[in-house]
Order: sequence, then C-alpha cells, then structure tokens
Amino acid sequence: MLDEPCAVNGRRTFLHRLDPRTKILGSLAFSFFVASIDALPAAFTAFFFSLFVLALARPPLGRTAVLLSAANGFILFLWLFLPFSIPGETAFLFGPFRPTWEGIERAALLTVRSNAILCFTLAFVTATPVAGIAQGLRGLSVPEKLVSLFFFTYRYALEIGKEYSRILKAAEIRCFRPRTNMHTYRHVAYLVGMLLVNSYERGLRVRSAMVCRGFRGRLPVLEPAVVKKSDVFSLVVLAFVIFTVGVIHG
Amino acid sequence: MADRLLELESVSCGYRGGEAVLRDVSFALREKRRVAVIGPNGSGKTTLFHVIMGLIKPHAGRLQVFGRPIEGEKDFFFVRRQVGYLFQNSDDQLFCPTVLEDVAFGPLNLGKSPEEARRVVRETLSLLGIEAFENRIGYRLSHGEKKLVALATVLAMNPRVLILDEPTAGLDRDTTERIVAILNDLRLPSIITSHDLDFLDRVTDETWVLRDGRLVPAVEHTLHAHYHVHRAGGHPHRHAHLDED
Repeated sequence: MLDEPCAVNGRRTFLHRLDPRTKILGSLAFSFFVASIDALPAAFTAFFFSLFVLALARPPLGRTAVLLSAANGFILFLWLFLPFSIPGETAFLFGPFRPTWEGIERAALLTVRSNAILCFTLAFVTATPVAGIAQGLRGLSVPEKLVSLFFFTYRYALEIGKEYSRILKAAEIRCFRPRTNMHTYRHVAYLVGMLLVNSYERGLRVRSAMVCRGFRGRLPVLEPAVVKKSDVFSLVVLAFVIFTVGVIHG
Repeated sequence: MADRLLELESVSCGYRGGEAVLRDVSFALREKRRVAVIGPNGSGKTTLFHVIMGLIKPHAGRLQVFGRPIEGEKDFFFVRRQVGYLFQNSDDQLFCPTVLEDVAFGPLNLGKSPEEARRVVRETLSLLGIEAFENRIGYRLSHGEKKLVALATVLAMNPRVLILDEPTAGLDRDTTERIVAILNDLRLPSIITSHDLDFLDRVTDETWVLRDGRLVPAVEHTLHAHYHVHRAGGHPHRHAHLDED
C-alpha cells in the first residue's frame, strides 16, 4: 500500500472518517484478541467479522486479492509441516506420511486467525492515510521521534525504490544483464552503494528544505483529531464483538 | 543601514578538505532590488544560498538579515521566516503525500491554525493558477508542475525576500512564462540564479557574477554579437535595435 491507492483518492467511507486513534486502538485490541483465540468456530466468527469490516472500507478488489494471496503464501508453509508434526489421531494415509487431525486443526486455526487479523489490518490501512496514522500515533502519546521515523520511513521507502529503478535503468540501457560472474557482482555492489549514498544525500537535502520552511523537529498537523460519536460507537461495537465471541466460544 | 535586507560581510566558506568555495564574499540586497547571480556550474551559487539560510556554516564572515546579526539556530529560524528559498531540485522540497499538505507545512510550522493554513494554501495555489492541484499526489506531478508547487510552498510562508536557485531549469516556455509573470507580479526583493540570461533580464534589475569564489557586480550592457537566423538573412540588412543607439 505504498502509494495509498484508496486513502488519498478521496474515497470517504465510514471507516475513513473515524479518528485514527480509534482505528489504531481497535486494530490492536482486535489483533491481540484474535491471537488468543484457541478454537476454530471462534476464529471463523472473528474472520467473518473482519471480512465485514474490510468490506466497509471498500478496498480495490484486485489489489486486496493480491495482498491477501501474497500473505497466504507464507501460511502455505504451515500446511506443509504442521499436519505431519503434531502428534495425534491419524487422519488419513498420504503415502508414507500420516497427517493427524490435531495437526490439521492447528493449521486451520492459524490460517483463519492470520487472515482475520490481516483483513482487519488491511481495512485499517486502506481507510487511513499514512499521515493520519502518524497523527494517531502522536495522539496516543507515542514519542515524536518514533512517529517521524515511521512517517519518513514510509515516505522514503518509495523514494529509494524510485532511485533503485533509476540506477537499474541506467545500467540496463547500457545492456547490463545480471549473470553469475564478477562483472555482475561488482556492478550490483556499485548499485547498492550508489543507492545508499544517493538516498543519504537526498535525505540531507530534503531535511534542509524542511528546515528552510521552519521545521523544528515536529511535524505539524493539518487535520486535528476529534473524538466523535462514531468513534465511541465503533469501539463499543468492537468491544461487544470481542466480548461475545470470547464468551460464547469460551 | 535600514534598506539592507540581507547583508554578507567577508564571508568565506569551503567544504571539508576541499578548496574554498566562497572567498571573502561581501554583498547586500537592498529594498526593492532584484538581483541576478550568475556563474558557471559549481561556482558556489548554491553554497552562497545555503550560507544565507544557515544550512552551511561559513568559516568566516558575518551575516545580517533585516538589520539583525545572524549567529545561532534561533536567528536562522528568523531568517527562514523572512526569506523564502526555492531549491534547485523540487523533489528535495516536496515530501508530503499531497500538494495540500506540502504547501500547508510551512504555514503550520509558523504557528498558523489548520483552518488558516488551508486558507493560505488555497490563496497561494490560486495565485499561481494551480488550484486544481490541491489534492493531487506530490510525487506524481510532472517536473513543471512540481516546480510550481515548490514555489507555492515557499510563497505560502509569505516571505519578504525570495531566493530562487535556477527556478526555470528544464522548464518549457509556458511554465517559464508563468514563473516570469508570477515574479513580476509579486515584485519581491529577490536573489535569482539561472543560466538563462534572457529570463534573468526579465525578472531582475542588477547582475552579480560569482567566479573563483568571488562575487562581483557585473559590468552591465556590454556590446556583444549574436549568431542568429532569419529569413533572407544572407542579404545586407540593418537591425532596428542597433539603429536606435
């Protein structure tokens, strides 16, 4: 979500309008809760709830699918090992391997749980511009230095990416093709070195420009946060969901 | 002197281990004056500006802005309120996700409320004729658009002096014309560098030359020749502006 496709493009859903602090606290609370769930039905309930919240944020479908499948690629590895490594009742024979019901359940639980947290976080990220997240963190008394670090890391990850492709293009137009030889290693090392030097120098210049515009270590805020009724309402709903799922499924 | 907005006195400056970039530079910007500084690449124009803005510390020399001696960081904060500095590379100047936030950054730093900052942004953007940019994403703008937005970020702070480092480099004619119109409309005391002498001639009224680290006033109006082309140029003809002399 480096380029914030949904957050800046002016889509303003209910979630977009919530105070960033509400969203940060909500996501944190929900993630901790989901991480502590130990039963499949509860995990599924939580997952469907986060799908619903994600739908509220109206993310672009294609991109969301790509992000979710990328994350689930890692989860796939769990399915390769967990069913075979947790002792228990054999589910079926799979060649020389004996997956157990306990193992399968464990893998399923982890998958559903991860996806629940993922969808919820995705909804939050989709509905909050990065500047808003920074502001929310500040509102929650996170130290200013950490907030600035967060904001600029985000901002310059993109910049470094652009610098990288610029240098790479400069190499490619002179017919550079990576191979397994010294020539490639040397020039890839140059590329990384130049990337570091350029990014560092650019960082200094940007800082100079900011200082010239009166920057004194504190990022100013354009949209001051106010806690609205909708924030209280959302947190109450979330607390209710967490409580109900927690109680019903023990 | 009351009419000296900006005054450098025997300023010398150099980079670590290297040769001196500025040698004993003395210069004053007076009320209502617009000064061009020309010089080859690497002659120290940007360094000169960085010294004025307090981004580089000179080895020696004194700086006064609006009659106030400038020494520590606090004084430079005062300088930066008064002097708007347009960087050579707009990418260095713009760092916020949207144009609105970028232009609002300066006014907010000066202690304006968010509402006031928004108003200032709107006014500045419409002054430059780029109202439509407000919600655009900074890094997706074209080179010319970025330059106009960077100029907006400077003007939004309502500076009393402008320093522009090659404001028209790489711009097309329309955007250059736009910048000329804006500068001539504002008529702020300024120091401007460029390699485009025609541009400088239209927006400044005196010229200084920076060469070998020394800043000296240029001898104005030197008679010189141009290669030029026009229809039937091979036939004997006279040029009107020479006839006037």
